[in-house]
Amino acid sequence: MESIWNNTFYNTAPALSWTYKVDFTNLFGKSFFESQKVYTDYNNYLKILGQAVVSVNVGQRESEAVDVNYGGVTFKKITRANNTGNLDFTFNEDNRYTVTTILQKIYEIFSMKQYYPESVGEENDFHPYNDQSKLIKNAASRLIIVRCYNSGNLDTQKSQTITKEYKFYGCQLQGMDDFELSYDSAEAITRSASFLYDYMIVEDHDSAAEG
Amino acid sequence: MDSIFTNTNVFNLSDPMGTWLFDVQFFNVNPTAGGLNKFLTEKSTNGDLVVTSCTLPGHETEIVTRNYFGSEKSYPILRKYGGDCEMRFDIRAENDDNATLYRITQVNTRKLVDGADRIIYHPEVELRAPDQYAEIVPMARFQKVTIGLINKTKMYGSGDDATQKKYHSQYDLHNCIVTSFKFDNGLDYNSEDKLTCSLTLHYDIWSYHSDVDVTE
Repeated sequence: MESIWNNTFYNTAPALSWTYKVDFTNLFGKSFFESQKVYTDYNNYLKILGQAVVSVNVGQRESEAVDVNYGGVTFKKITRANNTGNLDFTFNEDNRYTVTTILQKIYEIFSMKQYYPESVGEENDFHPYNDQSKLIKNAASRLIIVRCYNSGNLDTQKSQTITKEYKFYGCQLQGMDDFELSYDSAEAITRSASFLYDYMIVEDHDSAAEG
Repeated sequence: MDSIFTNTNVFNLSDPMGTWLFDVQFFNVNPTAGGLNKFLTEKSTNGDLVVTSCTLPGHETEIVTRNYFGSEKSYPILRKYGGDCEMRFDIRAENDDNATLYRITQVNTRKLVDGADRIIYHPEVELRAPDQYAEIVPMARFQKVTIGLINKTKMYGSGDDATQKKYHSQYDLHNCIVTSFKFDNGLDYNSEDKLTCSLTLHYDIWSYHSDVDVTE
């Protein structure tokens, strides 16, 4: 096999970086919210967040290794696998700052209500570090899914082929990056946000319809 | 094959398409929008607009090339249909056509220098026609601009078909945004040239139809 033309691996088109979608709608389960209306509102927010994604890095697997030395030589042993990680998203922003509003609401659930420094001990101005019970109860529903599509089948009239699903469990929004406002710039604003996850499951979906 | 007159294929082919057999129509985002949108839409529909030249759309496909053991193979990965269309207009001397300049320049500049402390409106970032400040011309954005290539044997109908014109091809440019306006020449006592201006529209995608009937 001297040539790429005889190498059957290259008979299929390459994977492309733009054939993907992100689904945030499983970040919170229905039972997390006190009312159906609040659940519906958050479901809409999370749909918008998925529509606004520009980029995300997925797929890292990593394990620790330790050196074992003997008699002047070294070999390595794999020890603990790192199951946790970070999901860093970049979002487009619209002129109503919709993505900023949504990320702020989600940040207040996972980190701190923004009025906490001014709070007078009322229940609504909590710091979740001191009240994890709500989040622990609903840990299984904190799911973000990244779906990668087969570039050879993107016809919107048919079922688009989801080739791989990257499922991230136990997600928490850790923070949002700052963004630049400048009179010297004609750029559109983007927002970056980082989610922590507890573990990632990668699944094949060769013939599933779009979820 | 000795002669063009004995080669029946060449002899029977239709005449080549002349680059002068075309017209352009503008379709508005908002039917009630004013300013340049309304002006060009109306003028193009009733035939008063003279677009003297216009570029046609195309597409580009990006490829990626992969290598293996000294050989390479390429794959298409993304096609871009967007592009820029440059049109040229004659500026006419008649009074009602000075309105072309007013609308194309987009903002009534007298309002900028009258000393009033006000925020200058930015029509270029609006996606809807504004409902106030009539002197500020709304953003120039068109839902569709069509460039029709005319079949020269059917340019004019006869009798009941006098107002029908048959295009053999039509290019539709979608989501057109005016990105540039300029005068091609300056004013000059020593020149015999006519005053023309160029308008550049950026479009995101284009489509093509053939044998389109258009009733004016």
